[in-house]
Amino acid sequence: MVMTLHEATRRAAARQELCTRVKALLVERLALNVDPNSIGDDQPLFGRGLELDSIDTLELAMAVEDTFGVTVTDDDTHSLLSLNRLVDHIEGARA
Amino acid sequence: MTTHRTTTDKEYAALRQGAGLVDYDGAGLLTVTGPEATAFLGRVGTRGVDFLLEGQSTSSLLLREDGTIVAEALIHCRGTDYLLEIWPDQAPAATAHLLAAADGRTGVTVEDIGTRFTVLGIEGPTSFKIAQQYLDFPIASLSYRSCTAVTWAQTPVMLSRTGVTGEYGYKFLVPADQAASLRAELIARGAVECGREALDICRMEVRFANHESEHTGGPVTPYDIGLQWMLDPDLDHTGRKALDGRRRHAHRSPVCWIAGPGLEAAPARGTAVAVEDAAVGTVTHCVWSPRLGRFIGTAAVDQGVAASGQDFHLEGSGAAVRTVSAPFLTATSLGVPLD
Repeated sequence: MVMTLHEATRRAAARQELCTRVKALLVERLALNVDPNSIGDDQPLFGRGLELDSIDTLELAMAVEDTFGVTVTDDDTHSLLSLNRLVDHIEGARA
Repeated sequence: MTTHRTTTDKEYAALRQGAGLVDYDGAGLLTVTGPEATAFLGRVGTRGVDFLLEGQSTSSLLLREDGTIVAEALIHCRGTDYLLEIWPDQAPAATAHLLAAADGRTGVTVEDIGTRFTVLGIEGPTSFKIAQQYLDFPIASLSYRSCTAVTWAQTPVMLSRTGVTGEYGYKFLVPADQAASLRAELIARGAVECGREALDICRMEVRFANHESEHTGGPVTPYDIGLQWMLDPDLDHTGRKALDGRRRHAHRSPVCWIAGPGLEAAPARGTAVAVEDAAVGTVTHCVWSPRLGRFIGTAAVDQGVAASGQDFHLEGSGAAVRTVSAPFLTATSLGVPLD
């Protein structure tokens, strides 16, 4: 599939806007001492990276459902491996 | 000291499916002691360490005043001192950097102990079964980024849970004159000796940034490789002012990409990434992923097109690449309980 520069730019803007919203949601709901803009799109959420824990997972899942109407279940562990993976999950569920 | 190397594919399989043994020959090892040790590490590193309790570890970037990366250090808190572990390729520069930073400073002593100890790592979904045999408590209690002292063959050894493959990973810090014995024992317990090439593939697959390889030809800043999250916002660390200044300028963003099935050779660093006829970035690193059966890599692209899910092509070959979300794959260990 060949993308035009216009399509690539438009799509990137939409994706970046969604990533920005999810970063702000993460910081707000988990009360993180982090500037949302400093969170990288491919930043891991657990272990290294944001170093979230299992309790954070529950809060994050509720926040995503409240804000985007998208459910994150125990079977979606792979969707929590990075900010981008989580945004993929939200995009996929809303498509 | 490696004795049983096979092929990269077999070593890769061990790291992803069993247990691989990695000799971190040349790893930088330094102790930081004294009443000012914590403050010193909070100045030379991008993350504060005052929250670390004995037995806990964290990673921190060592930066130059201009904000470019010297190395990433794994910092272990051992109670009365800190032990810093540096990736082998970055060890000489990082060691010189730290010794120079401590020179003439009161209240802190930095000592290079790299020649006295050896770092042996075991990584893979079954590596915990081997590591468990060196512990007298359940290995599940050894959390990620922690370390503990064990006695092996009447020798004090530090065992840490760290790693760069996304799989379970442990490292042994053993006196250098005992390393061959421990290596032989780990192999006898089922660990397969692995070289750095297989390790670096796994490292890319789970997007542990590779400072040595991911660049466009020169020094990199944390922003260049997506490690800005390792900058503690409350810390006045070396390089902070320069980075704050750089943030205000437009810069390319790191993205991950996977090549289409037609790409037969790894694109060289610096190969242009394009959309239509417009070059929008350059390849910064590339490896062949046996599990994915594709070339995968990183690129630095213009912010206006930087996002996961973009279809680009490589100038020259015209090969299609698609940006993807890290990690490239889910580690096997994610589905393996620690018991």
